Amino acid sequence: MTTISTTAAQELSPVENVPLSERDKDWIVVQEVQAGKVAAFDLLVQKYREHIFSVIYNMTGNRADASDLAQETFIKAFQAIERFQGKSAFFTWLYRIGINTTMSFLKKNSRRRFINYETINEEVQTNVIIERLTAKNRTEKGLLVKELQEKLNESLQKLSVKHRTVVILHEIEGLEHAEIAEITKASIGTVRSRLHYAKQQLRAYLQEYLVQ
Amino acid sequence: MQKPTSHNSDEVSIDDLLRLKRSEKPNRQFWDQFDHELHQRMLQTLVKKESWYLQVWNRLTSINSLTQIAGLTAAAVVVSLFLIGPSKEPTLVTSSPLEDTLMSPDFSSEVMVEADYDTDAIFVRDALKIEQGVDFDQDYTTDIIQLAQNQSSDYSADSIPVRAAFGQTGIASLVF
Repeated sequence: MTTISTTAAQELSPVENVPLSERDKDWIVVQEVQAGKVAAFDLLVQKYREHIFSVIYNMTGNRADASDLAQETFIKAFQAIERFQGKSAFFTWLYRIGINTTMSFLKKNSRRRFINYETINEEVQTNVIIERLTAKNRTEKGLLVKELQEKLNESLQKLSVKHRTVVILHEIEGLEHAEIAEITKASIGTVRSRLHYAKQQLRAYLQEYLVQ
Repeated sequence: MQKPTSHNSDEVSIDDLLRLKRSEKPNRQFWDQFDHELHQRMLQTLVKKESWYLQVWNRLTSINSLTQIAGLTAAAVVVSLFLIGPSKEPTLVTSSPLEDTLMSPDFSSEVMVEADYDTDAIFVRDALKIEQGVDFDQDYTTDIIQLAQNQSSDYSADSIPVRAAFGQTGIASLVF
């Protein structure tokens, strides 16, 4: 995760003389925005835009929709930032806004779904997993990557929104169970259960790519 | 935040496959456009917010000005009624249809009851005489006196129950 470049956010904790946590840094920026420094909100956008976009993109499977919804998420956050009291981490609050916005969108457009995938970073060609899969399937790497992308996205879209969300947050975004529980307003047990079930489903859908 | 992929074995797990999705990232051009669009939308939100306040403000001010106009009009009517309406001249009461419509018959009768018609008639006569410089003493005075006498009795008779009715309501204490 990128670090905040603001002077205030780079301050050390006055009590313990240790670097501030990401949560504290965010809280400082949020307070600046709340105090009227609207430009400080841009720091939060720069820091979280890729994460928010990633979550929404993987939830919708549509690049254009994800871009639109990610922008909507930041606008909603900006409009509501005065009410943010710092009881939770800013990023969990922001993720929650993004997920709720996306869920509402998916509910409204449940019958009108278009798939529009994001381009894959070229670095993936050198990824160890791709190397292994290429060796196993004896196919051309580029072709395999494209095929795998389609299969992965299709499989994710087959999951229910709740299961999809947990998988995305844990496996793609790398969030802890407790953080996901806070974002989704569910218990840690529920998160674990959903994750287990979702991965079971995905294993069934992607069986041909698994190497054991 | 993101956990590193483990490559210790030759296995390819579901976790490994899902982590490949991290490679689906937009390019720099996308983010430039994203930032531009976001700023535009945020500005629009701010503008809309301001215009919303402005709209409310405009409405409030328009209501206020309307209220002011209405208030001034009402005040002008009341003042004009006080100045012109409760005239003690019997000639005006009887001859002016406009005044009849503005004032309720009961109210005008109340006014007329308390009027000293003889004195007023003379006052009117004198005033006209002075202002217009025309001497029509005889006829005018006679007409007024006759009219005043007739109406005086009529209004006196009518006004008694009216005053009694007003007195019961409690509004009368405010009016008189």
